Amino acid sequence: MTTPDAHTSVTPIPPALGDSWRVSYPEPPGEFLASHSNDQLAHIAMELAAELWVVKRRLAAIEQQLVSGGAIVSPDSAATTDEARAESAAQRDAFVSRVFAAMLPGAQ
Amino acid sequence: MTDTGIGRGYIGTMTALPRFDDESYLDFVEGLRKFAVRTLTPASAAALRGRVAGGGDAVDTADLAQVRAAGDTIPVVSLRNRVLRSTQGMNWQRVQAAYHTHRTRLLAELDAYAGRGPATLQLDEQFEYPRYYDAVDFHRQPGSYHRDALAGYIYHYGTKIFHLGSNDKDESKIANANNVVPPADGKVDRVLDVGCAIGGCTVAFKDRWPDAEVIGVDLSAPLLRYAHMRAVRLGAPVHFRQALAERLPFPDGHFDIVYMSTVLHEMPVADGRRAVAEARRVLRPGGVLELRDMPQAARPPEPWADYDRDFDTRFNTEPFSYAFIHSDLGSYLEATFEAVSATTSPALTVWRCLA
Repeated sequence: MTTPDAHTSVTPIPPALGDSWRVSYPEPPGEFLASHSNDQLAHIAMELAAELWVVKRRLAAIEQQLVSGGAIVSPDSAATTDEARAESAAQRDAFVSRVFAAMLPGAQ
Repeated sequence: MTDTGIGRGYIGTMTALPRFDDESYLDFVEGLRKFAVRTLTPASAAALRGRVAGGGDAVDTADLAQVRAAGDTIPVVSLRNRVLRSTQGMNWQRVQAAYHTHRTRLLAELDAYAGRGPATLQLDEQFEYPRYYDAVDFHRQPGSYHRDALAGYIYHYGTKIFHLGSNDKDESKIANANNVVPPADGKVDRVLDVGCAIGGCTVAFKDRWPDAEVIGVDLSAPLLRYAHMRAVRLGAPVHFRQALAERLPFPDGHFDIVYMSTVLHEMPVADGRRAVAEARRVLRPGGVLELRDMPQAARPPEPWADYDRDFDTRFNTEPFSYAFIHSDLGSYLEATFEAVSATTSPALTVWRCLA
């Protein structure tokens, strides 16, 4: 059986890995994308903006009706159920797939 | 004591974020990360494998620089990388900011649980974090696991997003604990959870073996304080102790089971070897080490597996993970234990090692 000495001091970080791996936010965005991808990103941004606008208009209409009816409740205090969470997650996943489908190979 | 969290209750044992909008923002981040992991990643893997196999400029899969160069220039791969890096930053930044709006209250909550049973906590006032740990903000968590007093709260919610909501009520930790194969003689009097973090598996082991003494060790004092508070809330009589995996404060042959999950890839290989040797030392004859971690690299390396681990090292603050997958852990385990078996899926290998 191999028995390295467990009580010797630990080894330092290999110098090649650099002196510090700490992070702080906000961080620089980094560079990942070639110019080809920017077209897809622009498409995503447009789809996302469209989705957001649909939601904003609908939310405003609902809030207006709730306020006028005296029934508004802050979402910060809204109770939820496991079933509601699951349904919301499914709707979120469909939303993400629809908006970000342009990232996949073969997308227009 | 009746806990109310910070105004919006709990998700399992997790303190709900104080604002609905923070929860919605992170819900979106979770959904986008899921898309990156489950849709973009398979497409990226197929694209890189196609590039490697499909002619054009030949790629030597044993040469990481060539694999990097091939992967980084494939559009779907670079977009996936962009999304993973962005969602990781969005996650930690928002979780940390949300909890820190209630910092005073959460610190008082941790203080209120200090010394309460049935769980116990033993911190080492003289503890010195090793350099490999102190210098790294693992997985880009700001302040890492040990330099922010609220690290336990942040880790719990941040990993909820990272793991796509699969462990909101400790489901995956309970499943992992229940999958551990006990020693052949069935004797389980003492269980050690090495690198226990916030104690999800530690508590699950106690639920599985109520008569056993169950101990969780970790380096991080903030995570251990949070683990202790969580265990008290759950009524679990488990014990937490601050200790190095490579310097366990227990006598030889003390435990029937040692569990070590996703610990070794966060350590330099030499220190990981010491941790494994310590696990072997504290196991009694016939005892079992269950080790769960990233699969070791194939020979020659499978291009996507190698690229993806290198991505974590380059961009997700996991400086040791690439070296870990190339460390031939299986051979070391076989030289260290009486018998070793392993089962591997694409993202995980489980080694069962008999002392």
